[in-house]
Amino acid sequence: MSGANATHSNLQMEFLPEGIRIDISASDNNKESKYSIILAIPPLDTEFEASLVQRLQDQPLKLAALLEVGSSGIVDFLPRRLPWGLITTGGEMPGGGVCSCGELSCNHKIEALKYADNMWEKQPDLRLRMLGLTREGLLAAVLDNWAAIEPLENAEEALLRYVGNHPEEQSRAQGSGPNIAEWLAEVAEMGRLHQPGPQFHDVQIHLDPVDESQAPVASPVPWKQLLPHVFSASKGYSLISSGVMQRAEKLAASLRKLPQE
Amino acid sequence: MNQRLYGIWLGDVLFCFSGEISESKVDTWTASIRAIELTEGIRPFQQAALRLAEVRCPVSSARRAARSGERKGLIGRTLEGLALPAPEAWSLLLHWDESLLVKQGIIPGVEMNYWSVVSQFALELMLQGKITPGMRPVARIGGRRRGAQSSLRAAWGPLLSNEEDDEKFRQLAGAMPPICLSAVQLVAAQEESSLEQMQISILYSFLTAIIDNETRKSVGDLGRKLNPSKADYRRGYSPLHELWWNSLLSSGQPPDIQGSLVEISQLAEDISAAGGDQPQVTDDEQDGRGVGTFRLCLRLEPAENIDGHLLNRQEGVPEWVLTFWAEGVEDPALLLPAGFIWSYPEREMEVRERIYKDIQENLLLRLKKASELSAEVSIAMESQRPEGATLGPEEVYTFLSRSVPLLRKNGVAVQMPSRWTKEGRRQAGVKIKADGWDSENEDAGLPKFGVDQLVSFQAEAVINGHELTQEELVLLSNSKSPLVFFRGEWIEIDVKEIKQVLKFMKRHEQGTMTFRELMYLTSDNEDDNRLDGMYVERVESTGLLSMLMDGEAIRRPEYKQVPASLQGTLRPYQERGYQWLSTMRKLGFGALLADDMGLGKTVQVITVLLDGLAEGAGKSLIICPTSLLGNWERELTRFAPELRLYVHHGSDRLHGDRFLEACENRDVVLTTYQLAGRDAKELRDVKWDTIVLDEAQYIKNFGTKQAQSVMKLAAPHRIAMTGTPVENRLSELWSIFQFLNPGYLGSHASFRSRYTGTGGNQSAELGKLRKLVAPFLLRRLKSDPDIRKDLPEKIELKSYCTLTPEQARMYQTVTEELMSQIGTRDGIARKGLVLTSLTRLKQICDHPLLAVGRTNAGDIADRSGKMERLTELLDLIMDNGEASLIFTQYVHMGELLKERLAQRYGVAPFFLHGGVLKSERDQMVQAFQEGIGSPLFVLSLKAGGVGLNLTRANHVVHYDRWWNPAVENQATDRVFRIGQNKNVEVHKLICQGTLEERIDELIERKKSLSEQVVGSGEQWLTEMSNEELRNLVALQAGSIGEEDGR
Repeated sequence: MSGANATHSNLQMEFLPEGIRIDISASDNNKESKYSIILAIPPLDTEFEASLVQRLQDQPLKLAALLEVGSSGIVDFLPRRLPWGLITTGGEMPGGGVCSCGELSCNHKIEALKYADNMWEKQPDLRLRMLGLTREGLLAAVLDNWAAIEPLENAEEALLRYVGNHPEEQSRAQGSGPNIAEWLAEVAEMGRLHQPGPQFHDVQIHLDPVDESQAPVASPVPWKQLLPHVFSASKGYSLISSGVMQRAEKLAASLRKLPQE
Repeated sequence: MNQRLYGIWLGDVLFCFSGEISESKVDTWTASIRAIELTEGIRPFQQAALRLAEVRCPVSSARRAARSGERKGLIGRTLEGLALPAPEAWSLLLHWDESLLVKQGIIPGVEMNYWSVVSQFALELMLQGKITPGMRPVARIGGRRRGAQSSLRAAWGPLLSNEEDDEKFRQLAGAMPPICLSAVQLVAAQEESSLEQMQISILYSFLTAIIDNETRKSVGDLGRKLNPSKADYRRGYSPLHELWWNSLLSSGQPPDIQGSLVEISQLAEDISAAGGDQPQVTDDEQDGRGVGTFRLCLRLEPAENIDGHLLNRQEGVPEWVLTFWAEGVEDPALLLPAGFIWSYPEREMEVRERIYKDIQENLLLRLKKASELSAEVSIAMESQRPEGATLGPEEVYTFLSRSVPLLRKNGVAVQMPSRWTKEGRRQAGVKIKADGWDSENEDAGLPKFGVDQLVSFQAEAVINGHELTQEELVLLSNSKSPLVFFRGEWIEIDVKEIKQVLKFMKRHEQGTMTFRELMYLTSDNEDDNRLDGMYVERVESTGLLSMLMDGEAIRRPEYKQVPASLQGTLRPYQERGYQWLSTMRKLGFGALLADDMGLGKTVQVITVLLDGLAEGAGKSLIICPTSLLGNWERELTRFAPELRLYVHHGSDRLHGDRFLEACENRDVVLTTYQLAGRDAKELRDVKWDTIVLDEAQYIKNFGTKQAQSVMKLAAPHRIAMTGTPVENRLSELWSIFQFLNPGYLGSHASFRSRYTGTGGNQSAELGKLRKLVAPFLLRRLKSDPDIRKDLPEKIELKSYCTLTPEQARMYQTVTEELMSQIGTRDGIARKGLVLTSLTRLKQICDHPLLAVGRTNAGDIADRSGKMERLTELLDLIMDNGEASLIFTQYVHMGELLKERLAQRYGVAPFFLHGGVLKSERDQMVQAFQEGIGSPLFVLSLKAGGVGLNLTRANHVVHYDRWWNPAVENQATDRVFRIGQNKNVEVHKLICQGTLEERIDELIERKKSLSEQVVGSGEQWLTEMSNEELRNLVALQAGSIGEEDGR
């Protein structure tokens, strides 16, 4: 379970298959690891997990939020504090965590636990992972439960009942070449000729002002290869790109002033 | 009126259109769209050019569901629309404000919002400087001469190297509304492409056009600063890449880069490799199966329609159920209920060779997105396995009015009962029951108000086809929700509308309207189905009104005895025609008698004039073409000698007081259209009881002085006669009706805009027009079984014509020569002189060019009155889709006729004479019989007289007379023989006031003895005394046609 690291000052957290490793470096500037503490994630209280699945099962919007944005979408379903952090007292590490300094009870461990607590609070999107849960696992659990409520005796037969078995449907709606006309007729008949696809709802346009100091995006054009004898092509591109940004900003600014729907 | 606004990208312009194909509707639409004004006074369509594009889209009336198993397909239709080039499209879409457009009466297609978001994406990219040098494809230059040449155009495009931008691009491409792929040229250009490929191409093309346009403005701003960055391109030495780069550094639109196919392909490949090309299609296929997507579909229906659900009833009112479904985007016939999706044990599903992945997760996410737009969906998402929700009436209304438009705009499909869609919703209105003529019409003592006379009616309130009681009306008007449970079903009402009905009923429960209003209410025309602003759902009528409106008055007119003073017997259908004319006269309606040629319109009109005379009516004016003056005179004399006639014609016609005096003592005044224009004031000074227009199509150009003068003539009873299928000739129809029932068909402009377009809806519009004119129009065809049984199998008609002044002068010269020489000759010399002179006179009557022996002079038209009459006659025959034989005894005349008819009808008639070889003759006859080539066949009487079967023709015209009826009859028998299944009409053209008329009279008088008297050809003419000859050949008054001009 390696993945994105979460950094905080001179501490850094990394998810590993065996648990969470927290590295403590000597200072902010020197990121070279000095000590590492591996915290094994303790098994979650089964009641808690079942209750979480049940709540997600009952509140589909929350389940959808989990799918869309991860843990932060269900933050109110998760404990306020890192649950296994609270049980550590007197340097006793949950899951028998050890510090690379070799001492059984060192301050590094306390510092690491505080850091984990802090990360729990500041970065809600990490909470599921810190609990040893995944969105996929939760989703599967909820969907399995939903399916079990009204199970299908024979799923494929049931599907066939809905979609029918018309051979002419096979050639239809392939959406290419000459079939486009047929597909258009089909969607027109269903009254969908003007309707955008569902992905349209997912598109978010951001017309926020771009930081003036931000340089134009570097062009990926291999100028030397494409125009070997034009030495300032890249510079010309930058000039034009900056100009386009300025013009676009003027346009966007005028649009921002308009009342939004 | 609200106008639709749809938009698709054609690769160079945003093509905006309405989906209408009627020319007049497109004109109205164009005017509305050009006037659109957005914020800051932006008028993007003001200068937009009209353009045609072939688009696959259902045209309203053409939409139909394909039957099971039938292959579907939308036919490409050429639509006219307004084309917005990139700068104007950018301006429109960036300032897109749907509410502002709706306020201006525009209903935009949902895809316009899509294009607006795409434009914002272009702006977002430009805000971050994400542009890249690229290209736009240019059609390959074809033709053998240029060989393998190709070209492309340098263009700035979107830089999509960032993963997030690429994903957004793909989302937008995948979400492209299907109509954006409906341009036939786009599909044709990418015939082998997948749907995804086409979506990507169109989106990339649009973004490139927008970004290129904006970037070039920046290039312009930078001016010389870019000079150091330019390439030192030398034609023939430098690579095309440098030309491409320099083209990008130009502020205007650079010319296309042209080169050999190899060079251009290499350039395009290099630009593509450098990121200046559209993204590639993701290879989503799995084992040859495509990947499908689901959209959320919401279905709303009354609770009782859902099986297995208990009805939730509040106060006995059933509720509504909103259910969730997954619908295939690529395969919209695939529709799965959410409950099934939640129960399906797998995360993937395969349907019709398409894999749908993460089905439950996708549906859940789509529901979550929908819940952000719809409180109703949001509430349903508060329970596990969300499958839908139950909604109360008020919630349903909120859902329909607020949530549905937002959901649809964002790709959610909503299904609902059709009666709730805009098309399906039934209006509240009234039912009109027309009782009969209002007593006020009679109280005034003037029974003739024409179409403006009043009809009394009773109104009843209706909704959804049900009549409402007063109590129900009040109840509905007090409803707080637009959705009410009424008589066992949910209906949507407009409370404001119900209140208007209530108000209308208070004022008009019983009232009057004009007959014109009543007719328009029944014309099925949406724009006309309002009375005093109130929607009239249907009209019922009784008695004479009903008979008039449903055509019964035409089929079974009110019985009226034929006046005893008529010197002749009417055929049964003529009697019905007379009775119909008489009813129309009684009601004061202008009547259009449009019976087929040969059915005897004249005698029907004469009968009604006689009837009027018997009832004490005043004078009648008959206006006809000059060529028919003689016919009328004869028919009046023959059928109604009692009618005192004054023919207002010729240079010696009366004027001023003398004219008025002459009119005073006459029952009928006969004149021509030309004189109706010239002597308009004098004609207006007489009080007419009836005005008859024969060949009324003469006033079709209502702007002409002649037509205007006729329109200004007033009479309580008006009759127009025509033999042409006038209901198909709209400008004629309007003009004639403007004369008959002024104002009935509205202004010429409004009439034109409504009916003279072309296309799908037009036939429906014309159907409504026919319904509108039906009570005033009587047209019977010879082929109608009802008429046919009353007709003789052979009808002989004499058509009288006049000489032109040129013919008259020539005629006069020959008669003078004959008469001056006749006294000095005897024996064979005398006979020779007589026969030669008679032949010349006959030839002059035919055509001046025939008499002088020239057959190919350029100017044939307008020189022979007989030829003009013939063409009038043939016009009618051709209009009716019939065929005719034209016999002449002179081969040269046949040649002249062939030339003239070819000029007039664009195709030369067949011409058979003695010089035609047998094989050629057989070919001609076969072609004519099989309907190949002209429907006209000119024959010289001798050549065509025997052994021919020409039964395709049902008209025979004898252009000149043979004096021997037996010979004529033999010719007529070419068409009147076995195989002929139509009635045959024989037209004999006779120049009035000439020897032709006199000889015809002789033949008629001695018909029983004709074989003995005239059987030996023309010899008997030579036996006449000098005095008899003088009487025979002398030119008499009324024979010259063109003296009106003097």
